[in-house]
Amino acid sequence: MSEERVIGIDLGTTNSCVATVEGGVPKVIANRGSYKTTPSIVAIAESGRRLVGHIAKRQAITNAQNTVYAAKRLIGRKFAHPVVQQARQVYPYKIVEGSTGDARIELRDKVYSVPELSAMVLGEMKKVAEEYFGGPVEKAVVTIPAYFNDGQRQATKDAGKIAGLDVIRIINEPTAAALAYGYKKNVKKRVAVFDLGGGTFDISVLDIQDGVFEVLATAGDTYLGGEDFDQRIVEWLVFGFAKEHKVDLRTDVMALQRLRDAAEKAKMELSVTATTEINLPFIMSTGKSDALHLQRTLTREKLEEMCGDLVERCVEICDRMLKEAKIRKEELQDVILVGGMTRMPKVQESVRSYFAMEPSKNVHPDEVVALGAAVQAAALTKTGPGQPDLLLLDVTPHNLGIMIAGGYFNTLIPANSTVPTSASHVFTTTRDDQTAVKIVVLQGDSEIASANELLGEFLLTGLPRAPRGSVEIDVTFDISPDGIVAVSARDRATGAEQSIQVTATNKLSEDEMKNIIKENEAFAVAEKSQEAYGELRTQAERAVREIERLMPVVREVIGASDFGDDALKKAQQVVERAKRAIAMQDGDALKGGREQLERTVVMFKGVAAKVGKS
Amino acid sequence: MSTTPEPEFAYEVGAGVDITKLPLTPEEGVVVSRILGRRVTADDLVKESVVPQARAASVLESLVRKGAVLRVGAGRPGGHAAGPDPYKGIVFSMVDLSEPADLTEDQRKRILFFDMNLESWSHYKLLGSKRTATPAEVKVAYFKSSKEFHPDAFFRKNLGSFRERLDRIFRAMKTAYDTLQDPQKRAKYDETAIIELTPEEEAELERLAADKRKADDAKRRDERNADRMKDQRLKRNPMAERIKKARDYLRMAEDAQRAGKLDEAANHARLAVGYDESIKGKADAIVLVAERARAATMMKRIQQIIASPSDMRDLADELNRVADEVAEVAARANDGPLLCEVSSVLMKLKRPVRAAKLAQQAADVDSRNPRAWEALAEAAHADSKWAILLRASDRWLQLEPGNARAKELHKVGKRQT
Repeated sequence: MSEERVIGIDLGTTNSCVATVEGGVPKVIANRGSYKTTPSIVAIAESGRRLVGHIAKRQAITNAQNTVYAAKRLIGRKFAHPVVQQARQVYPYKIVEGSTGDARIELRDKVYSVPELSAMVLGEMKKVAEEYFGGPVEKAVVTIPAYFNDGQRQATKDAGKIAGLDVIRIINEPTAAALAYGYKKNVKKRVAVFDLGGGTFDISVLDIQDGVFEVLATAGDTYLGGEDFDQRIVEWLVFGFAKEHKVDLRTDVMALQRLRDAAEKAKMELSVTATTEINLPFIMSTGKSDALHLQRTLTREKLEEMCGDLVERCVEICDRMLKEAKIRKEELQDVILVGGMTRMPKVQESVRSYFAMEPSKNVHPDEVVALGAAVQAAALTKTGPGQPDLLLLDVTPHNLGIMIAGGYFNTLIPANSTVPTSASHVFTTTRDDQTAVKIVVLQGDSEIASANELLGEFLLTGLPRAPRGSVEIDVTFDISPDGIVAVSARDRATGAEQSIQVTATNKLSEDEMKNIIKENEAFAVAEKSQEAYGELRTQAERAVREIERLMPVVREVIGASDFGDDALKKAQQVVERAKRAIAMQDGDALKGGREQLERTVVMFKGVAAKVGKS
Repeated sequence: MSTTPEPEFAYEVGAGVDITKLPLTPEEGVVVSRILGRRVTADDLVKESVVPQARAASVLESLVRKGAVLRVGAGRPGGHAAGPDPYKGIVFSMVDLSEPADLTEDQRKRILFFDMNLESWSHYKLLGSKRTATPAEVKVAYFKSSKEFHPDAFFRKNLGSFRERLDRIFRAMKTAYDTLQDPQKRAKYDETAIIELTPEEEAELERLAADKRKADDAKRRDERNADRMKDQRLKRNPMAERIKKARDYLRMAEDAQRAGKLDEAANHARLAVGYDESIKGKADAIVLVAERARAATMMKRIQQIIASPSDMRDLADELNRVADEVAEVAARANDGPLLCEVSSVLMKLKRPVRAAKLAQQAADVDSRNPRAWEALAEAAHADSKWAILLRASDRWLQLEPGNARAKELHKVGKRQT
């Protein structure tokens, strides 16, 4: 096989999956144990050996402290982030603060960054593919939750790099699912993808037509998934046990790990049966007396009662997204269920009743994301014969902007903008003789800067001394098709440029954020209205003269036709509006009318040229 | 020209050819510079006067041999062999077409073509959509455009400077799509006048323009024919030379008159009449205009003199001469107001007989002008022509019943008769 091998990897919170496209058909690659998915679990054995996947899962109970699961929930997050602090309470492994303030994990006295641990999972998936192909694989598309922010995307890409993969694209999981769903089926539909996985929830709406997959809107919660359901069961077991035996099982990491396994198993069983037994003998030995056993019966009804609010949250997110995107439920022609958690009857029922339709059963909830990633990989690299024309138009899930004077957030690229995209804006200094500005880049939905996620900041120095408001700084944002942000700033006068790839993500405490704002006050930038009025005016006047000069010729040629009459009338309006704007010295109106004026000139010149009178 | 058979071959400068390094003759250099960035046939080059018909074939042959140009099928770019050349009149820069990049020449041209038009095209044109397109149709158009211009269509290709252009194009397409998909934004956009033609309208414009060109041509042809026929007539006529001269002078007179040079116009007109009596009417009219203007000026001078009694005494002779001159012009021009004025001047010069005559003419020109009757009455009174006085004052009173002088003169007339 001489053709280039490319794969798609679904890097899940609990399970990962790898797929490829062969002969135009996407297929999942099974691992050596002929399982199609591999647990996203990494462990360090006593011998110091690195264990990944099923082996790691099998030894989790006896080696709980050195077994990392759900690392995806921590990727790209700061140690101080509330989510990380919450995770420290529930996970048996040790979460510590890294040198750059990021969350890291300590296993057998060695500190690992989260991307490093994710890289081990990705490396395992790479190995699965290489064993299948019998040769090296480098290029991969890796999926992430749609609602991941820049830092989380960046960290995932880093993980790929560490694993020795050329991550040619990061794509959103629900989008990948839609790709697999619509691939080669000549679908023309508007669909919703409801993706409830092990750790995250995403909802996306797409239009699929002519081989183009256009994401209209996306929303989600990066901390809402199967893990939370398991946690509810664990808590229920722990509290029940504490009531009976006055012992807190959480103090014993091994017991906790057994509880987690049992909870997950019970949850899965209850998707099929109405009741299940949870039986954990010798869960704890108290030392002086006999060992304690845990034995309880969990009904589906009880589970639904415990987790009702989690399901409810999913539905609320759907509702909010549809409203904000102005999409009516009736416009949707299909709902695709993705992620293991959508096997839960309660989830299916909620989806059915909210969207008022039977969800699609055409895709495999655990494999579809990897299949879609493989499809995208093949489409980008155009490997193999018969690759269909396929294009993905995805969006950025969050508003992107910078902090401006007063601690406000100025959005430059709104959420749900199609990527790749870019935006520029001119800002100015807020103090006399200000020689440096700091650009604080944020992602989020609040008008108040401190309520959003800080992506990074950079300093532009060496500005000329000048009265405030007279130095102009161009700030340009680029969002790549991966959803990763790059920012550059340039002093308009000197051309001095500085650009950063926004790297670290951050959710700082209120106080820290206030501090940042305070210390940045001295470097603050303010908005600046751009275009010089004079230039606009001159342009407009020139265009008006030109139009008026050509008007008689144009009238003579096209005045009698329907479209000509219309065009002349509109030209007249354009000219009048421009004249009014000039008379009123209305810069905005001039700016708004510029395009129309120019186009009128172009058209008039075109007509005149046709009769040799330009 | 449309009857020329479709040429079999066209010529273009191949990508990566550095024409400055080739041993070309000056003539070949000129030709190749005009082929750069285009695909042209030998016919095109002849039509554009790049190379004479007789030389075209051999120059092109030589250029092909030297590797400066490629001979290709005569199809048009973009596979639109049947339609009009989409890049008609556009000269693409050789720098752009030869820049190292993983793009075909057609792709380069498409990208350059779109990029150069981003400012001037409307959202509709950019997406290749009709102004009446429904949102669903706009979507289809946008999807089609995206497949061609989305950066992913050139994934990991070396695009050089075209990368930036593509980004610009795709960004503009997104803006266009976002605007046209949102009913409110679209309404606002449409409101600000979409001065741009659909392909159908372009076709109609083409037709209208052709009609207009044809009409203009026909008009010019008619004029030329008329002139030619006139010339022919003149040639057959023995008086031709004189008549032509008369016509020339008359035209010069008319030109001068338009330019406000009335005296010069009068002179030319007089000369014209000298050559051809038949144009006397036109010529006289021109002369008269000049004379009237002169008379009006003289009249002002007369009035100045009359205003001062001493001047009037000293310049009596001149006054009489000028008055006579003005009177003559007024009489010839049948200018009522001027006749009246001259009449009253003559009265002051104690020449009632002449004054009466002019007044009578003024009354004949406009019998409802009281000034004419007044002048006649005064003249008749001074000359003791009582019957005339009675008639004139009678008419005057009818027009101005309350006028005391009219009543007085009427009384005198009655008494004397």
